[in-house]
Amino acid sequence: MRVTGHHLLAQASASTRSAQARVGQAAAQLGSGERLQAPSDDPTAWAIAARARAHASLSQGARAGVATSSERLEATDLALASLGDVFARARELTIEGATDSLSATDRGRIAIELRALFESAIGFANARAPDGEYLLAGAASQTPPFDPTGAYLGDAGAREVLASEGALQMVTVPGTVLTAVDGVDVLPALDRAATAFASNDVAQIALSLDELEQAVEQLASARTRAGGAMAVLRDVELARRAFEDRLAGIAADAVEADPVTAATAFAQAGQTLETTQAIAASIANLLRPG
Amino acid sequence: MSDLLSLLSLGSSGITAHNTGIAIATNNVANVDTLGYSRQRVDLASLPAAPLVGGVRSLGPERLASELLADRLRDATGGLGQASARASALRELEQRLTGDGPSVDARLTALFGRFSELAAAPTDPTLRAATVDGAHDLAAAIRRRAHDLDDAGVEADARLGDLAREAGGLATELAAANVAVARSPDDPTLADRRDLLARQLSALVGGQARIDGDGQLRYVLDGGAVLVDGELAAAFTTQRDATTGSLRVQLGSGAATRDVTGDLAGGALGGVVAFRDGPLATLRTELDQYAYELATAFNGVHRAGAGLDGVTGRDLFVPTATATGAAAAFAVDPGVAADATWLATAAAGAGPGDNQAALALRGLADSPVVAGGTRTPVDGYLAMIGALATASRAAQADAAQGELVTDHLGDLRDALAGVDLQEELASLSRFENTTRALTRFVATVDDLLRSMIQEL
Repeated sequence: MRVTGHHLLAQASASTRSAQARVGQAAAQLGSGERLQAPSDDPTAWAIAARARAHASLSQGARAGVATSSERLEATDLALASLGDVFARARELTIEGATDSLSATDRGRIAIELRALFESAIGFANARAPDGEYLLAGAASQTPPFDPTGAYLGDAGAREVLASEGALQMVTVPGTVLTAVDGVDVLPALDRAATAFASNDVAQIALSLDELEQAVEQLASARTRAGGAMAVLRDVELARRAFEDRLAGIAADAVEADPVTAATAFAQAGQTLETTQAIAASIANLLRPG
Repeated sequence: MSDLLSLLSLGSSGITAHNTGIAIATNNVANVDTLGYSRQRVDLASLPAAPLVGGVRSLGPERLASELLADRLRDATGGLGQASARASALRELEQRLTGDGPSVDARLTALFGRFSELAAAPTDPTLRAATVDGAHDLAAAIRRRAHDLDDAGVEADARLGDLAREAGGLATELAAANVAVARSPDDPTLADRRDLLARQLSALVGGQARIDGDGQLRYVLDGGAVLVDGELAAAFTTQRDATTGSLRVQLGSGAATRDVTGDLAGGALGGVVAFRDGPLATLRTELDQYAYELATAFNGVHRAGAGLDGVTGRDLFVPTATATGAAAAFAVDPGVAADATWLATAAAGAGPGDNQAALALRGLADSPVVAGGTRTPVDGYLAMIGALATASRAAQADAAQGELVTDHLGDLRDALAGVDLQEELASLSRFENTTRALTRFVATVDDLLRSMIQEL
């Protein structure tokens, strides 16, 4: 085949242009750390990365929900712990007041303290989250779940959040745990105890002691339920973080440029460019007339 | 004496013939960078030598070109033009859809994330407002992609108009070149010019060109419409389709006008049409369908749920009657937009603290509700972009392959018709030496004649 000098020069020029483009690509990869400039550079890798990022984003959203639920459970646990303290003290007072040696005046003094405990128990049972939601109200969370008599006005609704794909975890404790559904109506029991002490009704005081014992157990059980849910959410949080890290790794492997490989490619492209430039210069020199 | 005069004539013809050679070689050198130039060669032929003195004459300059090669090069150029235009348009579109700002899939996962958060605290007014914002963001992203596709269509139409005008101009020039070739059939530069025009036209419209027995080049588009016939060139016009609103390309000759949009299989025009009526049209339909199915899925779940006020039956996104135009019209329901308490998070009949509707809305992330109920929302969108990316890559591969073929044919053409400076300088030197020798020969004969005349 006849090869003209003009063709040789054109070919050398095209090779130089191509080498320059490769240097540009390698520099872009090295600078941005991204192997792909557009999805069409590698549609499969792009799809893998995009799906991994989407799953990671969905997981982050679910994790945010888990974090909110954990905070709410902690607040619930705090409220239940406070209630537990109240009822433990009420039980102590009731045990103390159930002895025959106490006078009516002494019982009256205990009645006053029990009444105060009842009032604070109502407050703890109507505890609210930072957004104003009543923690122990079930789904009726916009209104106080316990009235001044200690009667439960909420419902049995318990909230669930997405723990893992397709699996839900209960994250609220409804106020029904403080009602006869789970044993005794704990707040009215305290009210009755206070009334019994005020009226110096020893028989009723003895009955109240049983109720308060049951109430303390119910509260402990409710705390166990809240604590169990918190433990699960902690595990979920850790698992989700690990999952997101893994997804980030998958996305990075698919589309990010390995720094060493990118630097090597850049160096190679630079060498190729120098070589093609030298060849082009030699050809031009060879073909120079005269 | 008469023999000496014949020798003078012989020398003179030799000098003339070799001067022609010098002129041709010089012309070749001068045109070394002229696009489409085919080198010329002068052949020398001896004059009849009877009985003693002959001579030499130059045959007309021969244009070193191959019609077969020119034909293949035109075909390859048309294919390359088509693939390059298609690849370029697809690449621009994918960069448009994946370049600036968060994508639809990112907005979608963000919205699902909001529903996850909201499920944990469904009565939280801040989270409700953030979720409505997330829905607005998603709607804005879908509308923006719909506008991007519309813009791509507008740009494709504008490019189509420009290319049609350019092709019309080239067709007219080609017809004029036919006239010039008919007038001066021996002028090789006119044939070069015509070949170049035909190749440039091919890059724009594809089609086929052939040189008939009468020496005239006829250019026919892929569907059979005649673009150039001798001195006649048909005119390209464009007209907007009343139904689709897209630009149609027509070819007019005299009073007759023919819609050739669907026939443009090659060239940049064919590439733009293939892009606009192929992947772009498909993507527009798919995005509309996607938006329609997405809104329907969200609304279905949202209607079943209750807002903070316990009311059910409300839409989250403005529903559209059909898929057509659904992407451009994608918007958050005005009621929800105005009052975030309308956002359905609870099951019907449950208290405001219930989160079953919020969970169900989040659950859509894992439900096959788009692409005819075969894909999840994120997957459905990624599949659309993935298909575009695959089409773009295929078009780039087509363009790269077309470039290789065109380059190869260009190399073959250069091997035959390209000017080589060294070769031409050698020819120049050869012709110059011969001319110098002939000049000395003529001078010698002239001296002899002068001596003879003085002797007489």
